[in-house]
Amino acid sequence: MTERRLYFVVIALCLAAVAVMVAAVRQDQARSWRWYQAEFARRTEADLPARLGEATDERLRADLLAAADRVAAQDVALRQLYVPELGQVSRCVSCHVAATEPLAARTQFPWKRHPEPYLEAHWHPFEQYGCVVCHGGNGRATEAVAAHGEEGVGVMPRRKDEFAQAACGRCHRADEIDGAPAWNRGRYLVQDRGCAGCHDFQDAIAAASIGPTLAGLGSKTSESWLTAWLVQPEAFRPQTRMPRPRLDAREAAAVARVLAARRLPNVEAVAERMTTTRMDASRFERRGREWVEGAAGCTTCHDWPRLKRRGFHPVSGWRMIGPDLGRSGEKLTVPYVAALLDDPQSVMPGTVMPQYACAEPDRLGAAAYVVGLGAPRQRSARTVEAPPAEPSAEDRALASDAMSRLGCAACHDAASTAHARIGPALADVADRRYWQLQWSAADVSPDQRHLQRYLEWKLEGSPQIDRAEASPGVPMRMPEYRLSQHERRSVVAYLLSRTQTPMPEKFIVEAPAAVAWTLDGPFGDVNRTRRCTSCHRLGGQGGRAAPALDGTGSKFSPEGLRRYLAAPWPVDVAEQARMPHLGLTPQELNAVTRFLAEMATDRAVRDRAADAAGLTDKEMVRGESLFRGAADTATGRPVGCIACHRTAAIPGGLVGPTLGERPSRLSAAWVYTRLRAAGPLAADSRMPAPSLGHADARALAAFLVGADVAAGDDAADAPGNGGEHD
Amino acid sequence: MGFWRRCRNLSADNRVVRSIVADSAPMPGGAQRRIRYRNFFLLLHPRRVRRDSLRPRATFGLGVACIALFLLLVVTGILLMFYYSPGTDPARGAYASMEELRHGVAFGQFIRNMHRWAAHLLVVAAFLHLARVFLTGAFKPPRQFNWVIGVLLLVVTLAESFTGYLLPWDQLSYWAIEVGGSMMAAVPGVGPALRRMVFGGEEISQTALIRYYGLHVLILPAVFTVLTCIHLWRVRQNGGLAHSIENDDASPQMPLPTVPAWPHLVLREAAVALACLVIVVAMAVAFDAPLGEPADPAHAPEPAKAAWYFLWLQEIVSYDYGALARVHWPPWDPGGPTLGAEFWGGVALPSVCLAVLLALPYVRQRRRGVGVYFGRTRRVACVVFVLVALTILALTLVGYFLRGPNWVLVWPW
Repeated sequence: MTERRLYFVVIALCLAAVAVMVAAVRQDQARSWRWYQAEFARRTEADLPARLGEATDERLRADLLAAADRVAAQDVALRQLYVPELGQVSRCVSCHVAATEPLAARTQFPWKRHPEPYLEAHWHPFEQYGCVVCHGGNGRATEAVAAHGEEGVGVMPRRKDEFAQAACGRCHRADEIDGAPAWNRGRYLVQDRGCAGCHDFQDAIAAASIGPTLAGLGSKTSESWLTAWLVQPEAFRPQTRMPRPRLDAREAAAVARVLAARRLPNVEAVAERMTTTRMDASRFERRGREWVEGAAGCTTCHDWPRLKRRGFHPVSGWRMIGPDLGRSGEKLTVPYVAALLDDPQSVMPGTVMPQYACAEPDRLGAAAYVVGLGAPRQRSARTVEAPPAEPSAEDRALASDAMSRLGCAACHDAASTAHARIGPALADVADRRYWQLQWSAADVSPDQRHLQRYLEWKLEGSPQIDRAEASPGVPMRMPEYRLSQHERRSVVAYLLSRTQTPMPEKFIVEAPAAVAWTLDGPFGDVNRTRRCTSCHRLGGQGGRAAPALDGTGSKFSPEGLRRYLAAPWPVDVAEQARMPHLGLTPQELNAVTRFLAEMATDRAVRDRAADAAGLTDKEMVRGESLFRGAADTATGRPVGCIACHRTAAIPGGLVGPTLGERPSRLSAAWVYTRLRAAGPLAADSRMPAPSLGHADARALAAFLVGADVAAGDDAADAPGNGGEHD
Repeated sequence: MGFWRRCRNLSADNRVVRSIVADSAPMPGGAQRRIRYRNFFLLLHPRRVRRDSLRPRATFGLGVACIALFLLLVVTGILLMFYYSPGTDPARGAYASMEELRHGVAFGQFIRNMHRWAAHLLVVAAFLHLARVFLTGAFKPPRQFNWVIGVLLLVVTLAESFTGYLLPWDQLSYWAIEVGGSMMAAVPGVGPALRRMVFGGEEISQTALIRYYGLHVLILPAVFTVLTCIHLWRVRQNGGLAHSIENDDASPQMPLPTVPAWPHLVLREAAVALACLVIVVAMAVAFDAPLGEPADPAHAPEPAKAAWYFLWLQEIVSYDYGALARVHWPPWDPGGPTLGAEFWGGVALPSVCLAVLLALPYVRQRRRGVGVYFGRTRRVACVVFVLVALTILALTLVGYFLRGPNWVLVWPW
C-alpha cells in the first residue's frame, strides 16, 4: 500500500466515524416527546383564535389566553415529577402535556385532558402525587411502549380506565370511595358473591352467610329440584348469585339426597296441621293474591313474569333484593312459604325478609298463590312429597367430602358452621409477580403474561383453568362464576388494590369513623323482625333498596310518619316499589318514630328550624301562588312547582311526588331547608336546585306543610299522598 | 557478594527468568537507550519497522484493535460512572441508573451500547489475537513470557466482562453471575469460601455489587493497563513480530527491509483504531444493549444462562459425567461431597485449559514453524488448536440458541 492510499484510507475512516457519530446524535435526539411537545404548542397557538371566539365568558377567555401563554413559554424539555415519599418518577407529562394544561387540551391522545376531577387541587394534584401512583407503568420511561409497560413478559401494563381505580383502594380505607365506581362495584361483587368466604382480603368484608341455610331443605323443596339446581343453578334462575359448583353428577345426586333428607320442624308442623284439619290452601288463593300484590308490597322485592307492573320507578341503585318467584311452583312447598311468611327468621335465619303480621288465611293464600306462579295448575296445591329414600352411608360420605372440598359453608350457614377459608389469601394478590401465577394452560401469549391479564382470565372461568390447576387428584375447587366482562374488570380493579406494599403514611385516608350504632332497644327489636335495614340504610349500614333513614327524623313530622308507617301508601303516583304493609303494632310504631326523631336528625335542618317556625296563613296564600307559577322575588323567574308536582286539590305534573297532604308527612323545617338549597338536593334527585329566598321558602313551606298559627284544615284534607321523594 | 547480586547471577542462567528480563537485541549505546526511555511514543514504536510486519495478514491488526477497544471502554466507562450508582434499591440503585441512562440521560443509551458492544468485541478480538499468535508460532522463544502476559490479559478481559455483567442488576446479569458463582463454589474444599469471598456473603447482594463494581472500574482496569504496558514493552524487547527467519533451521539471510514507523505503522494503527470506533458506534446505533427485568433473587428465569463467553462451559457442565460425577472429595473420604459436573466442566476443564496455555511456550522450546500460519512442522498443533476453538464456538452456539427451559434442546424458531 502506498503512502497516499494509506492517508486516503485513514481520511475515509475519519469520515465514516463522523457519519456514524452524526447518526448516533440524530438517533438520540429523535425522542417522541420532543415532537409531542412542539406539536402541542403549535396546535395550541393555531387554535387559539377559534377557541377565543367560542368562549362566551370573559374569564374563560382570560384563562385560555393565560394557558396559551404558558404553553408557548415552555421549552421543549423532558418534564417530570419526582415524588420522594414513593420514590416514583412521573415523566408521563412529557408526552401527555395536556394533563397539566387542561384548558389547552385537544381531542387526540396524548394531548387529551385528564378526566375530572381527579387532578383537581383538593383531590390529587399532579404536583403532589404524579401519575405513577395511580396508573403504574414505568414512570421513568420516555417512550410509549416502555412507559406503558407493553414491553413483554411479566411487565405490568399501566393501569388505565377502571384499573386505575385499583390505586384508590391502596390508600383509601373506606368501603366506598368517591370517584372510584369500578372499585366500589368490584368490592361489592366480592362481598356479594361470597368471595370473602373462601379468600382472605384483609378488608372489612364480613364473611356473612350470603346463601340461604341448608337446614331443612327437604321441607322446602324436592330432591330432584336440588339435583338439577346443583348441576346448573342458572338454568333455573339466570340471575342467581350462586356460582356453578364443580360437582360431578354422582356427587350432585348424593349432595341433593343428603340435603333433601333434612327437615324443618316448624314447616313440618304447618304441613301436619294442614293435613289434619284438611285445610285446602287453594281456597284462599284469590285472597292471597290480593294481599301479595297489594298491601304486602311483595312486588317491591320480588318479581315474577305474570306480574303486571304499571310503570316502575325504583330509587337509584335499587335492585330486586328478593328472588324471582316465577318458577316457585317447581321448587317450593306451600307449608314452607306459609311458615316463612309467619316467621321468616325461624325458617331462614338471617334472611332480609320482614315479618308480616297477617292472618293465617292470608298466609296460606299467599303461599298457594306463590307456589302456583308459573307452574302447571295441577301442581299448584302440591304439598310435601312423599318422604324420599334415606341417603345411604356412601351418599353421606360422598356428600360430606364434596361439601367440605367446595366450601359450601363459606356461603351457607357460615355463622353456625365452623369454617376455614379454603381459598388462598388474596390480601397481597396485587404483589404477585407473573411467575408466581399458574399460566400452564392459559391461552395467553407469553408477552401478555401479567397479573392483570391473569386475574381476568381466571375470573372468566374458562375450562382451561380446570386443566391448569387439576394436578392429579386435586380437582379445581373454585366454583364457576358467571360475571360479565364489566363485572370481571371491576373485580380485577378491586383485586389490584389488595397489596401489602406499604403506602406512605401521609397518603393513607382512613375510613370515616363508622357511626356507632347498635340496634338495641325498642327499635332494635322492631328491626330484628321487621327488617327495616334490609332496604334502608342508617349511618352507612343497611340495604340500598330504599331511601336512607339518615335525616328522616328531621324530614318527617312524627304524626305524618306514624300515619305512613301504619299503612304505607304509594308516595309517587307511578310508584310500584314501595314500603310493604307490615302490620306494625302501636308499640312498634312508637318505637320507630321515637327512634328516628331522636337518632336520625339532620343538623342542617335542625339549625334552620327557627327560620321556618311560626308560619302564617298569609304566607300559605303566597305559597300557593308560588306553587302555581308566580314569580320568585329574588330573580323574577316563575317557581312553578306545578310543572312536576301536584296536590290533592291542584292537578299538576306527575314527575315528582304528590305534595301537600294534611297533616303533612314532611316537617316545615325540612321543606324550608330544601327550598333554600343552592345545589342539587340529593345525588339521585332530578329536581333542579330551587335556591329560593327566605320569604319565598317560608311561603312555600307554609303552603305545603300547613300554617302553624291557624288550624289549616281549610286546605285539601286528602289522605293519601305525601312527598317522600325529592 | 550481596544478596541481590547473587540472585541475579542465579537467575541469569535460568531460561525462564532470562526470557522475562533479558533484551534479545544486543543493548545499544547509551544515546539510543536514552531516546527509548525518554520518549513514550518511541517506547511503544521502534523508529523503523520491518516491511513484512505491515502486511494486513501478518496480524490483522488484532492487537491494536484490542487496545483501541480498551481505550473506548475506558472513555465510555468513565462517562457511565457519572450516572451509575451501585445499589440494589430499585428506586435509586443500579437498575434505576440503567433506566435513567436509557430514558433520561442524553446519549445515555448510546454510551451504554458502545460500552457493551466494545466489551464484547474486545473478548472476540483478544481471543482471535491469541489464535493468531498461536497459529504463527509467535509464542516460541524468545516471546514465551509475552505469551504468558497475553494469556493473563485474556483472563483479565474475561474477568472485566464477568464483573461488568452484574452491574445493570437486571435478571439477565444477576442470574448469569449466579451461574458463575455456582461454578466457583464447585472448587473442591475452598469453593464455598471462595464464592463467599467474591460475593461478600452467601448470595449476590449489595455487597457483591459493590465488590464487582470496585473490581470492574478500578482494580481490573489497572491490572489490564499494567499488563498491557508490559505486553507492548515485551514486543519491542523481542524485536517486533515473529518471523520465519527466527526458526532454528533457517539459514542466515540478509537483514529484512524496513520502513519508518511514521507514517507507515502509525497510520495503519490509526486506521485500525478508527475502524473499531466506526464498528462500535454503528453497532451502538443499530442494536440496543438489552435490559431485563430488575434482578429478583427469588425467581430464576428459565433458563438462566451465563454470559455468552462462558456459555460453552455451562454447556459442558450440563452433560452427564457418569462415574466422574460420583468421585468424592477428598477422594479417600467416601462420606465427602461428590465432585459434580460443576467441578469437571466448570473448574477442572477451564483450569486445565489455562494451565496448558500458560505452560505451552515452556514445553517445547524448539523454534520451528515460526512466523507462518499453519507452519509445515506445526500443522498438527495448529489443527488441534482450530478444532478446540471450533468446538468451543459450537458449544457456545448450542448454548446460546438451542437451549430452552430446563436446558433442553429447542429449535430457536
